[in-house]
Amino acid sequence: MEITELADLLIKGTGETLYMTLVSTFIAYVIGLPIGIILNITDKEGICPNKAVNIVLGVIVNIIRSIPFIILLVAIIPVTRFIVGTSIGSTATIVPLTAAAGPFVARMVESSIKEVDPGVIEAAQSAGASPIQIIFKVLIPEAKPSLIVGSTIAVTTILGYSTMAGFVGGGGLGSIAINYGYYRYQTDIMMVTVVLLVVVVQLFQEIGMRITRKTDKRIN
Amino acid sequence: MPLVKINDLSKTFHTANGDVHALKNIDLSIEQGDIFGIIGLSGAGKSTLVRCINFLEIPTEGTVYFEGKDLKSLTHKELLKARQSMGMIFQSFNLLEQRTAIKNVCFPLEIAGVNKKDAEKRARELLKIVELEDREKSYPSQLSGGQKQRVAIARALSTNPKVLLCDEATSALDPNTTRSILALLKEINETMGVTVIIITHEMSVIEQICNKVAVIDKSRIVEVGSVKDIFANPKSDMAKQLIIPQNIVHSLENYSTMRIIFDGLSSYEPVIANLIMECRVPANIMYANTKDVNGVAAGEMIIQIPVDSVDKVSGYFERIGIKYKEEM
Ligand SMILES: Nc1ncnc2c1ncn2[C@@H]1O[C@H](COP(=O)(O)OP(=O)(O)OP(=O)(O)O)[C@@H](O)[C@H]1O
Ligand SMILES: [Mg+2]
Repeated sequence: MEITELADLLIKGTGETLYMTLVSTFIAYVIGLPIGIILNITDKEGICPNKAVNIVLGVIVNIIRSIPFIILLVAIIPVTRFIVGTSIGSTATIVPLTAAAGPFVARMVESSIKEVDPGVIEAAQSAGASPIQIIFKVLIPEAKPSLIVGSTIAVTTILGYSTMAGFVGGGGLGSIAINYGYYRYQTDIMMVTVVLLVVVVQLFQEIGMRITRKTDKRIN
Repeated sequence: MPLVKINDLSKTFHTANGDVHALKNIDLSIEQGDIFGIIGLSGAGKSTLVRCINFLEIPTEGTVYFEGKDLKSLTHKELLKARQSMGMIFQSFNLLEQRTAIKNVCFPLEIAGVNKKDAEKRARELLKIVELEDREKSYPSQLSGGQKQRVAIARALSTNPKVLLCDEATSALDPNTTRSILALLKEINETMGVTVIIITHEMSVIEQICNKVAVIDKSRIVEVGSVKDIFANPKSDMAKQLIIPQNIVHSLENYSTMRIIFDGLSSYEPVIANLIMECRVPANIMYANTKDVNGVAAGEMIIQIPVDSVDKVSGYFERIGIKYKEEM
């Protein structure tokens, strides 16, 4: 393979990986953030304890989380076809990625919000804040640094999942590594993709930490 | 009409280890303008009691009236509104860590729906009152404990509350900072007319600023009255334990112990020297905690005198108008 051809392949692969990862992370947060918050506030220590809601949501989240990703990937194909129209390619991969990441994100959000000092919540309640005001003016802003750390972990985990999707035609760097390295024994190409993946992970990690350091007012 | 009135209030927590009766049959009346102290040992139920006043804790039985309104009868919305008339400060300050000092003070105003510009104007006024106008941009992590509590006080006062609830507000502070925070609370009480309710386990806090005090022991109020009266003549065991120093050396044989209370006598009068000269008794000072408040002596002293001179000494104290009690 020509070097320019290879470069094109890798650039396209990196682009697809970033696309799948970022879009899936975004949708996973759209779903996971409210669920995480609801899990937190309906806990018996939370601001709106509600045992029924808490248990039902908790069980759903746990069930999805306990399905191995590779199984979820295959099991969800009919749903993917229904939503996207196809089950291969990077857009199609967003569906299983989001399904796997949503509950994961929900738990991360729940635990970040749990770190907010109960005393601060009590102070807000004593000022007459309603639960909605507490969520938007206390819980989310106070948990923000921890939420950002969580999203860094989420994004890198989802990136890992996206490469696994390469096995079933998911596109991106994962597909390249599998097609060239695994099926055609072109270890050098596989190595390059792995290095690229490492670089991308490192990049996300670094950006996440920088933003956290900038946002967190407890440490400066 | 009392500002806060508590009628036969009880609070029971149901826990895995059985019921905890945190409060039993509490009756209290707190008048507008009072600086009302609630004192008791750890676990007595003090925090639970203040939390019942703003209904952060719902009493199991009994009624809390705030400005004559039964809090139980309010809708959730009305209760949130009522809480805006009750500020609260805490031992651990509980500031929003991700907000600057001024934004912390703005918080209750945001909750009350005040627009940003007016809120910041009001917040600046309050930061000035607590002498932190130059730190408005600081985050809590950049402030000392005393400064954090000042911000918390400014925050609690931002919505012009009728009452300020203080739960061990000075317990995390050193003695000097404690004194300055208490002085600030007193000033706020005097200049803004805010009623202050102070929870503490330290008698010195009560002594410094309260006019009334309730003593709480094992979930019950065992004594309530003016600080002057209770300090001079504690009746309940708990009040005695809190007021009278407990580790006084035991009486010598044939000696009696007397507790004398200074309130209102001139600081310049050498009471003990005169006592010794006039009654010719070998008085032994066991404990003294007196201070000069604007030329007036305040505090107490515990002395030992021979048993047979008790009458003579009592007579002397009565003559010069000093309160005394024979102890032990
Ligand atoms: N949410 C709760 N659930 C169960 N028990 C509780 C709860 N809150 C308080 N208690 C119990 O009620 C009793 C009174 O507690 P409270 O916190 O009011 O005491 P306190 O006088 O404020 O003590 P301290 O000086 O240590 O703060 C204690 O036995 C405590 O364990
Ligand atoms: Mg307490």
